Amino acid sequence: MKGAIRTIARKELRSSFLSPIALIFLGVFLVGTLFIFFTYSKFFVRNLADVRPLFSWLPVLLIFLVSAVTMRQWSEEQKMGTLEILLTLPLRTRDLVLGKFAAGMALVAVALLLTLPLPITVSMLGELDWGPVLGGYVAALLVAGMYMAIGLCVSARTDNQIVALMVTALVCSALYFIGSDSVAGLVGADAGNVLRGLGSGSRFLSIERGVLDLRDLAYYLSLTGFFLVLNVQFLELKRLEGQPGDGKTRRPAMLLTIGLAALNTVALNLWLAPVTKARADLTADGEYSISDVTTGVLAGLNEPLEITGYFSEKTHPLLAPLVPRLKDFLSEYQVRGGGKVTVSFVEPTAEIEEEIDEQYGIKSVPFRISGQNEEAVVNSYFHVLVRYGSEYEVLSFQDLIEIHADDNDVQVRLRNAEYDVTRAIKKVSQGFESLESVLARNNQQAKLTAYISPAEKLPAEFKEVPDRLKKVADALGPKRGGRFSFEIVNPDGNAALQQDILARYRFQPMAVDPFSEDRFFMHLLLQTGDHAEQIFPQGGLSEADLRTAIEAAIKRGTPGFLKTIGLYDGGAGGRAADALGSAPGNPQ
Amino acid sequence: MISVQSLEKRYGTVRAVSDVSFEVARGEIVGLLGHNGAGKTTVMKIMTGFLEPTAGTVTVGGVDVRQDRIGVQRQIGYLPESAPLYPEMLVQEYLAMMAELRGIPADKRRAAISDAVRATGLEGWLTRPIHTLSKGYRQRTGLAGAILHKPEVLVLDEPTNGLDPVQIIEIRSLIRRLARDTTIILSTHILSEIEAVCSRVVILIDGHLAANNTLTELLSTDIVRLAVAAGTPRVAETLKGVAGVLEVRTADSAGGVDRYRVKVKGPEAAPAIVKAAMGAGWAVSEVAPATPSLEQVFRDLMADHVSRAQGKAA
Repeated sequence: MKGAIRTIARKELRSSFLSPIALIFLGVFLVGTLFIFFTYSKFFVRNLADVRPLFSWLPVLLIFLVSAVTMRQWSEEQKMGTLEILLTLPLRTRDLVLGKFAAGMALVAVALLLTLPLPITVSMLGELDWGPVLGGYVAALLVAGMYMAIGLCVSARTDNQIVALMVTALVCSALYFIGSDSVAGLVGADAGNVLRGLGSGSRFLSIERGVLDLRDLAYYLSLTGFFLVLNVQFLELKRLEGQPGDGKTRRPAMLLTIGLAALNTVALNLWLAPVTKARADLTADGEYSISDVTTGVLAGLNEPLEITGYFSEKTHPLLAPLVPRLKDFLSEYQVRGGGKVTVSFVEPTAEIEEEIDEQYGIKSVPFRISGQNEEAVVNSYFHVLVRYGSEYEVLSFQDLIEIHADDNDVQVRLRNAEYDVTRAIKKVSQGFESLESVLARNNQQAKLTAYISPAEKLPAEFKEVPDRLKKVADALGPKRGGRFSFEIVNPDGNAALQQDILARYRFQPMAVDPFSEDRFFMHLLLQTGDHAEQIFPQGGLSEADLRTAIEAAIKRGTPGFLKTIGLYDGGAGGRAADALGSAPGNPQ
Repeated sequence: MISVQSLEKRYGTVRAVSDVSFEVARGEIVGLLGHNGAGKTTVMKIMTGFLEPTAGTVTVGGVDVRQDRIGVQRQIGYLPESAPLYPEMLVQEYLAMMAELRGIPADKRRAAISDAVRATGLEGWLTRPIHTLSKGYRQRTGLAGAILHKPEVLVLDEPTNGLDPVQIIEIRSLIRRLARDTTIILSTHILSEIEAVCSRVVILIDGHLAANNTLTELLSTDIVRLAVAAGTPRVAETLKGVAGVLEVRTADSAGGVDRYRVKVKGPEAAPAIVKAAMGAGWAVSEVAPATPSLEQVFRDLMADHVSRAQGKAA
C-alpha cells in the first residue's frame, strides 16, 4: 500500500518541520559544513577548485543530523502512546517503517540540497569537475540512508529521545571510526583491511574521490536494508511484548528473519568483495581510469609492491594542488592491485629524510617561493618511491609534472601519472622476480652441495653451521617444487674427491688456526644447470646470512634476473672476472 | 461478531490474562469491567492486534487475529486508553491522515470525515490544534478517528476516564448513538457506566473471567437480607440447609446485630428462611428481600476470587 507510506512520510515531515529541534540541527549541520569547508579545510589555501573537504566530512556531519532526525520518530510515538494507533491500523509494519524512513531521507535531501551553493560557488571560482560532486551527493544520501535505518532501529527501542539521539550517534560513530586509519592501523594489515571494509567512513573514501564502486554501494544499501528489517522486527517484537519464548510465539521466526537478513547482508558483501571491476569513474578526465596495460602489469606481480609517496606539507604553491590528486591516483593502484599493492604516504621528518636519502637517494628539492609578502626557499619533497622486493625506482617531481609557461602565467600539471608510475612498476618488477617463478619458468634444477668436515673437526665457531645449513635448505626446498636439492658431503679421507674439488673449484682444506696442523673443509657449492658457483656468505654465518647468500646465488645462476657485474682488472689476471662473468642471462 | 477463546497473555512471568473466553453478538454494547490491572486493556489490545496473545485467540467477524491481523483491524475502530493523539496536528489534519491510513478512497474521504465529525459533535473544532483541545474534545477527536471507516466493531478503552460529569454524559450518549449500527466493547472500572450504557457485562478479576451476563441476569439474583442478634451461633450452617438458599454471606456486624446476605433462588425462599429462623429461636431484627446493586455483585465476585485464590494457595 503505497498510499500509507506516503501518508506516514508526510505526517513525519510536517512534524519535523514544525519541531524546532530538527530545524536547529539542520542549521547546525549547514553552519558546520561551511565552517569545515572554508575554515578547517582551508579552501582558499588549498587553491583547488573542488569540494572534496565537504564530502570527506559529510559522513561525520550526517551522523549528527540523522541522529537528530531519527531520535523522535519512534520514541515519541511510544511516549505519546500514538504507536498504539499506528499499530492497530490495518497497515503492514513495513509500510510504517518505510514511511518514517522516506520522511527522514527527504529531510536529509533538503539538508544536502542546501549545501549545493558550495559547489556552485566553487564552480564560479574555478573549473569544477561536476562528476565527483554528483557522485558525492549520491553517496552522501546512501550513507545517510544507512545512518537513518540505524537511527530508526535505536529509536524503536526506547521512548526517550535523548537516549535515542546519543545511542544512534554512538553506533554510527563507531561504524565510522572502525574503518578509520587510527583504528584500522592498530591491528595488522589483514585485520585492518577487514575493518576498513566495515567502516562507513573508509567506504566513503573512493566515492569522495569520484569513483563509484559497486561494492561500496552494495555495502551501504545492504546495511540500510538490514537495519530496516531489524526495525520492522523490533516493532513486531512490541506486539509480543514480554512474552517468554515458548514454542507458540513468533519469536523464533523473528530471530530467523533477523538472522537471515544479517546473513544475506554479509553474504552479499563477501560475494561482491572480489569484484573490483564494477567501478564508475565520475571525473571528467577519467582521472582514476587505469588502463588495461597497468591492470595487466599489476596482475603479473607475484610479490608485494610498495608505493610510497613522500610529500611535504609545505611545498611550492603550484605543486600543492597536485598532491591530493596524485595521492588519489596512487590509491587507485592499491584498489586495483588486489592486496598485492600497498600505497602509503609519508610526510618526511628529519629521521625519515636521512633514511630515504641513504637508501633511495631521495633528496628534498629547494623551491623558491615568491609571494606577495614573502620570498622564501622551501625544501620540500615531491617523490614517489616504487619498491618491489629489493628493487626500487624513484620518481621525483621532474618525472611527474610538466610545466607550461607563457609570458605571465605558469601552469603546472601532472604529466601522465599513470604512464610514469606504471613504467616504474614495470621496471622494478622485471628487475626483481621471485626465485619461485624463475626456477619454475626455466625448469632448472638447483643443487647445493656442502663440502664440510665432520663436526668434531670443525673449529668451535663453525660447529653449528651444518645444522643451520640444513635448516635453511629445508626451508628453501619445498617451495621450489623439488627443483632445489641439498646434500652434505664429507671430503675427509676421500682423496679422490679432494683431488676433484681442488681441480674443479679450487676448494682446499683450511687451517683451524695459523699454528695448527688440523685442517677442515667448509665450502658451499651451488650448481644450477651447467653453472657452478661457490658461495661465500657475507657478514656472518647466521641463518639469515646463509639464506641470503644461497638465494642470491640461485638468482645469479638463473637467466632472467638483472645482474650486476664488476670487472676487476687487477694484475693477478682475469680469474675473478672469469668466475663472475660466466653467468648466463642478459647482463645489464 | 466477536469471539474470544481461552485467551492468555503473559508479560514475562506475570499472567495478565488467563483463560478468558466470551462472545459478543452483533449490535451489543458490552462492558468490560474490572479493577485496575484486571486485564481489560490487555484483552482490548489483543483484540485490536496491538499485542499478540500468548495462547488462545480472538476472531472478529470470523477472521482470526492471529491469522489475519490486518483483516481484523479493518473491521475495528479503536480508541486506546486516554486517547493518544498527535498534539501538533489540527483536528482536521488528524482526521484526514487517519482517513488516508484507513485506506478510504480519496473521493469518499470528505464524506467520511464529515460524517464522523457530525457524529462526534466536532463541528467548529476542525481547525484547532489538538493540544489546545480539552480532554473531552480530545476524546471526541480520537473517537472520530476511530469511526471514520464505519467499523463493524468499536473498541473503546475507558472512554470516559478523566472527563468531567458533563463530558461523561455527552460521551455516553454519543456511544449509545453509535451503537445503533455498531458492535461496541468498552472497558471501564466505573460501575455506573456499565449500568448507563451496556447491555451486557464481562467482569475480569485478576485476569480471570469472573462473570459474563446481561445486566438484568446479573442483577436479577434475589437476595434476602437478614439481621440477627450479635453472636448468634451457626447461622450460616442453618441457612444453608434451607431449601432455595444458594449462598450465605456475612455482610457486617454492627449495632448489636449480625447482618447476612442470603442469595436465594426466588422470592418464595424468604418465608422458608423466616421459618428456619423461628425454628432455631434466633432474635431476628430484620428480614427483607432486596435486589443487589452492580457494586454489590462486583464486590461479591471479588471476594469469591480472593477466597478461591487463597484456597488454591493453601
